[in-house]
Amino acid sequence: MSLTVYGTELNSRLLLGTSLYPSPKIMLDAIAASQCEVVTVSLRRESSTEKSGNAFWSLIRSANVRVLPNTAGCHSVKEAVTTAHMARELFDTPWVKLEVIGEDDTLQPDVFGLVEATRILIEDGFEVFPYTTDDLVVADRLLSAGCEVLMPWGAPIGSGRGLNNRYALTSMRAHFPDVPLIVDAGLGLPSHAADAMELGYDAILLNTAVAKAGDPVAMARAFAMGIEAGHLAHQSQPMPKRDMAAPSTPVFGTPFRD
Amino acid sequence: MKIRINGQETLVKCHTLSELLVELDHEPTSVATAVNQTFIPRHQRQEHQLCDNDIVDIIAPMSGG
Repeated sequence: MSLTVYGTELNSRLLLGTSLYPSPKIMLDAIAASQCEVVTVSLRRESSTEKSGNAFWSLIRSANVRVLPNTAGCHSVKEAVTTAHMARELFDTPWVKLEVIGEDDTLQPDVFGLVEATRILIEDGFEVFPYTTDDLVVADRLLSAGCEVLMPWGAPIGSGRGLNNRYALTSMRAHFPDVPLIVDAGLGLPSHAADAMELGYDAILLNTAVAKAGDPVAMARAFAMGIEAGHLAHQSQPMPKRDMAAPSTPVFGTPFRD
Repeated sequence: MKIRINGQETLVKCHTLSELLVELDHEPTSVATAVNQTFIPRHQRQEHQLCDNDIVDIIAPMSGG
């Protein structure tokens, strides 16, 4: 079953970043192997001599995927809002992965700035994908501001730790049963992605775990399979946990017992 | 006129933002622009007059996570 975000139907539940790959070809091969339909992109100052931006944009267009521009590196509402406007003009999409970073060691979102920037951008016609924490109150504010999707972190960006706080992520899923929830950042292994999907998350956004793998193309495929497996497992309604053993072989008629 | 372009102090001859892009040999549709941290859309560049000490950011697509 597909996922719908801001009225757009997505068949893949993996959104993939475009940074840190060993080469442009490997990036394109990883995108193809992942079968993702959305990739994240960014903006940086353009040198008047190198002009690398156009070459990168041509490369992404050749992959025939949707783009989700981010506001990575922004530490204030003003920076994030200005970057979002520039991204909308360059990439011709109302989508923006909104990041307002509040702390440099963990790259933790500044959730106060995030909510403020979200309000401004949604008012201006943007479709905001907020990179947020697993805080339920912040999530509620973001939804009130008009977000139709939430992207809580699994762990700090690039850490590869997996789900740092399963309890909080489980609560978030239970609290917002009808909101598309995408775990964004901090995953390192396909099992981490499967874990999130088994909790009922709708999709996964990741970059470093694929790009920095020894074989990014194989890892992209592995993540796609892990995400599909986790999603299917959630749909299949897993058995309840028990504290004690319960024999799977019928005990009736067991030989040598009176 | 002395302005700061992408963090570098630069002397320029132009008066408007669109003239600046020409002077720096940028393809106008390949970049986005901000002056003093305020976004200046493509259609406003021609009328946007630059002033001494303005801070100009010229931005292009790049990879991101």
